[in-house]
Amino acid sequence: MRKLTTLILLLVPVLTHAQRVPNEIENLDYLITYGAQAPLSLGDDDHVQILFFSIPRSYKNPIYIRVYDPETGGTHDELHGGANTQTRFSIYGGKEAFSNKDAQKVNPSGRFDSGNLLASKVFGSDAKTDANWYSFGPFNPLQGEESNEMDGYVFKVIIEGLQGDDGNQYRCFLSELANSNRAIEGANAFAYEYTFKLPKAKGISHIYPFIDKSVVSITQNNFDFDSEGNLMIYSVAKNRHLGLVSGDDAWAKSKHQMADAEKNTTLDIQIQKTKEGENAMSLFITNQYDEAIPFFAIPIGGPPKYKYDLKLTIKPTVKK
Amino acid sequence: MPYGAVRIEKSLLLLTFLLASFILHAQSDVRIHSFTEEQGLAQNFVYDIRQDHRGFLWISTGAGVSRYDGHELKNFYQPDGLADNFITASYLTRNKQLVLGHYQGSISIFNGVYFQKVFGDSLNSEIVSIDEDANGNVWCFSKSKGMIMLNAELKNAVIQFPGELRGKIVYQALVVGSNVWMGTSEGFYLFEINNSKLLFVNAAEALSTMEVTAIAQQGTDSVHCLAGTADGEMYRLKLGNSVQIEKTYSLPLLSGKRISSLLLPTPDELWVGTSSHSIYTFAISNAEVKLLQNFESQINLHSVNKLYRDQYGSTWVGTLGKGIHKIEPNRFSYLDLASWGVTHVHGAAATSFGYWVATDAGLLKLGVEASGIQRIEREPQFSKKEVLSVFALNDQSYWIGTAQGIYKWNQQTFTPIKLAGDDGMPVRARFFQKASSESVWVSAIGNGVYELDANGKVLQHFSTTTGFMHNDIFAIHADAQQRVWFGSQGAGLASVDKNGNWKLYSQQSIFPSRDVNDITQDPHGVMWIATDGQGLFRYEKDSFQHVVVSSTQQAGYIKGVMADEKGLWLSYRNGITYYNIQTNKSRAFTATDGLLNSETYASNMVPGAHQQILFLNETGVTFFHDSKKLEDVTLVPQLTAIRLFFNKSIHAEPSQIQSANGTFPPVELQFDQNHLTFDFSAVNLNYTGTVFYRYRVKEIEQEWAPPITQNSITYTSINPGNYTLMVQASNDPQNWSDPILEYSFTIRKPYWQQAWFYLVQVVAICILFGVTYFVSRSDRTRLSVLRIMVFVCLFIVFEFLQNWIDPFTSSYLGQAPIYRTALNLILALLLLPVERLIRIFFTGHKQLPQEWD
Repeated sequence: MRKLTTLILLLVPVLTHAQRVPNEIENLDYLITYGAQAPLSLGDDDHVQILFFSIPRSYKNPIYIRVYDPETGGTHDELHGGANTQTRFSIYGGKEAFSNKDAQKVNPSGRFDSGNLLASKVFGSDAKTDANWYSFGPFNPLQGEESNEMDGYVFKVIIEGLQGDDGNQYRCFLSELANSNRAIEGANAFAYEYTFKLPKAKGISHIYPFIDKSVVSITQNNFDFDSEGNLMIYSVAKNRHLGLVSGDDAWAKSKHQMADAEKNTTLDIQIQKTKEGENAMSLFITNQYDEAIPFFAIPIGGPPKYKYDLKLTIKPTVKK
Repeated sequence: MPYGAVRIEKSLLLLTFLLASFILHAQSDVRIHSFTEEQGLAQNFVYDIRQDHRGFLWISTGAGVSRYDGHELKNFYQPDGLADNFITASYLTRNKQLVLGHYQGSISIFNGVYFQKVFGDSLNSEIVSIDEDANGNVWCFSKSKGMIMLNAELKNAVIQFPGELRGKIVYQALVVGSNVWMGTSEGFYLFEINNSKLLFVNAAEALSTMEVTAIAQQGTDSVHCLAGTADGEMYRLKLGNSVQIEKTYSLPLLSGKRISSLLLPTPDELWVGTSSHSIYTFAISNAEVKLLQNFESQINLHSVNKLYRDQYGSTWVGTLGKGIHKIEPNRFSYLDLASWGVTHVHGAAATSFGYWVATDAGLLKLGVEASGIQRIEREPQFSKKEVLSVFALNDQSYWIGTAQGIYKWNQQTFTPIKLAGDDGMPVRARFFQKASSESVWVSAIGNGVYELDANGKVLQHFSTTTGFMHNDIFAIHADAQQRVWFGSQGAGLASVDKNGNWKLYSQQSIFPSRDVNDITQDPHGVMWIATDGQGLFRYEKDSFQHVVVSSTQQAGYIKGVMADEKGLWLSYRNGITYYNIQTNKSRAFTATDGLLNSETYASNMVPGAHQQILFLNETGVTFFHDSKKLEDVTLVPQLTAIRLFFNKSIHAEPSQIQSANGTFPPVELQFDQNHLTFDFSAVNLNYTGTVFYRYRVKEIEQEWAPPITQNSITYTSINPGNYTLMVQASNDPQNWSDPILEYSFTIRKPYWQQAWFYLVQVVAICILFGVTYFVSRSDRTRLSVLRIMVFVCLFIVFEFLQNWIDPFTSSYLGQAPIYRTALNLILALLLLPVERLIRIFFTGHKQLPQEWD
């Protein structure tokens, strides 16, 4: 009985935070989108964030996409002077919401807003949603784009910094309920580029891209890390592989070959921040064809563990 | 000790009164029926609801459209002709075509027989509203990519996307006159339709930062619009060259709740649906809104997406994820008096305020208002007495029957009516029955009956000691002919006229039953007698007739009968039936109508001041509300599909008139399409009981087939010809008076049975003979050709005869091969002389020429 209780207690937090973006397991405080007038040197390379939520086919109930602190102003935001920033949150589903190639690119160009616009709301400075949740929905799971790749239905969330120069910090949650966060079993969240705020304290944040069998090499691209630490790649076959880190208002990238053992597994890209202080940055990963690789809020198969490859040679000794 | 002599402390009386007084809200003013995927709904996400001219309710869901006829849900999907399974909007045009808008922007129509796509999904945006302008153009408004306009024939789609709407989400659009009202993610927009073009007029500036998620028109008012927002605010807008807020309604209850649907069934009644909460109803005027009902406690009514009012006055609630729900006024409400210590309700008397109810726990005052709210008070002067009966002599003066005797009571003082039974004990009144303006009949328990004048003086007394049929009388009725009728358990029915002439109908075997529960007279002077075991009888022109009212109740055991202007109310052990004498139609109410099976225990029915009828039960009372509004159930069957032997539906193209009339177009089928399944449905969303069908094909069956409850029939191997299928529906298999569906169809003859083919055959034979004749004129070819021709002709004749005779022989002799061989042999022998004759005809020789061999 005690074992069962312990198991339930361990499971509850995992489920509760399962579809939070950024996820607790990533150790990122907030995603951040700056207003269109904010300089790139603040860390946001394009003022647009695109997130995807996948819902398993078996799920038949209403879903809600909830945003914590969607407004800019009050708490949890990076203000530069008075709050003057407007951010638009738009939810898309239907045909091409996910499958359109432009939606999967790291630069918001072309038809990145493909699909059926389901809901849209512009948030400025608003006390009602400051440090509070706003719910989009209810949505019918069938309103997402049907995807065999994700084995379910995919919704797209586009967050655009329309005007102003502040940084809007927020979190998203895919929930079963309108008024509280209840994770949907089997659902996940993913993105092709993240712009996020690193924790103020020193620490390690994680990004979990999934490497499918067609990936031969990856290139990690990071922007405006301000050289505040290291970027390490861990996998079943890599242990502390160093990646290049960017300085202020600059891109850095490094290429890494993928071993056969790493295919169909998740990488753990660790951003090791060694200095204290506010820092926002952008990051994406591409494959050998320069196509963006998605990273998942819940690492597929769990965070990777390096498997030490011990080569033992046993030499028989011959007694003379 | 008489009650009037009892002194009761005023303070104690007041305290008792206050304690005993208790306000009861109606048990439930509405009934809610839920339909989800479990009940057969295509999906639990409902986007739109529409009733068509035939009465069907079309429910648009994310996984098909469901059609409801009052009894079953039938779902239609893409293979049925829909452009897409995801349906987000619907509209019934003036030409009675159902237009369906889809999630990806495609459009389908249903012409009464089948679905077809009229516009593809190139728009890639959800259709949120469909409406029609004065010219018959149908406007399909998409969420974010403009609108598609179809002409009155639902063709020639034209896409328009006014610049003012770019980047905005349209939540709802209405075409009102020549204007289009739109609720959007950035406020309210007003457009004008000019030569089929949408021109921007104005927007509500004050609402530009608000999401106007629902809009509604109040009646026919085309100048004002009711607008609800995502924050739960509601405005009355005045539309003109500018759009202004005329009134902001203060609705704290809705604050922060996203309004998803507004419904104004009447200009002063408002239903508000919210997407994360529930439904609220309000009384609305230009000045204010006042909450009427809050459905928050109904968890199924949360996540409201669409509100719709059907032709019968029921409200339908489409939700996102919780199916669809029908809200209708509750005809019945049950008031359990057990909590008042009541174990037996004895009787009741109607008054201007409601009812006095006589119970074993005293006399209860039941206040009934038109709104249906009931108030119960225990009358303190009877709080410790069992009250057996109560009678309202007038609104101020009552007669009360107790175990201690009968009392006159004016709500302040008691006056005993000194009445002793044959045993010398005070008379215990079972019930009272008004005889005339001056007198009252009393059924005395164990003491027969008394006729008393208004002062309580005995005018007549009948009991077994005076030769009366029984000492326990359960029914008394003084009719318009000044006869008094008595009914008893065991001794049956009797009457006495004004001259004192008795008729003992049961004892003289004129009336078949000896157990009479109730007697009444209808406004036409016909007497009705309810019996325990043998059903209902009518008495007219000195004869009794047994009347079969309904086979759906326990028809023989009628506890009570009460007449109103149109018919009779009959109470059974398992329900209540209303029998319309004029139309001979009955309507049974059982548990499915909100009645508890155990409710109709007692025979007593008392009509009230607010069109309600009170039915007395063992420990409570049941109200039937709005009894005057009760209508007969009329079931009109309609053909919904013709299928080839259970499978494929036949796509018969209806004309515009047929679509508008809702009639299925006649079909003409090939001779081999003669295994047919006919689907039909008697639509009545207001009737949830069993529907019985009977049917026949006029040309095949002389009589109706026995009633069935399934709504499809199959005929196989129908011979070529013209036919008329007849289907009739009824809620009572004993009564078939509803309209009959007559549908004509034709099975074509096969080509070989048609005149042209007979002609072809004759011509072919003539040609054959002609060719034979000409060829045979030449000696060189004559013999060989002639021989072939003779064989061919004989073969044909032989085959024909064999095919013709074979079925007859088989039916008599069976299928054994020996019989067929014998038949062939006989035919061959018969044909030999024929062959010889032909040969002689052509050769002119009686003997076979040598060349033939």
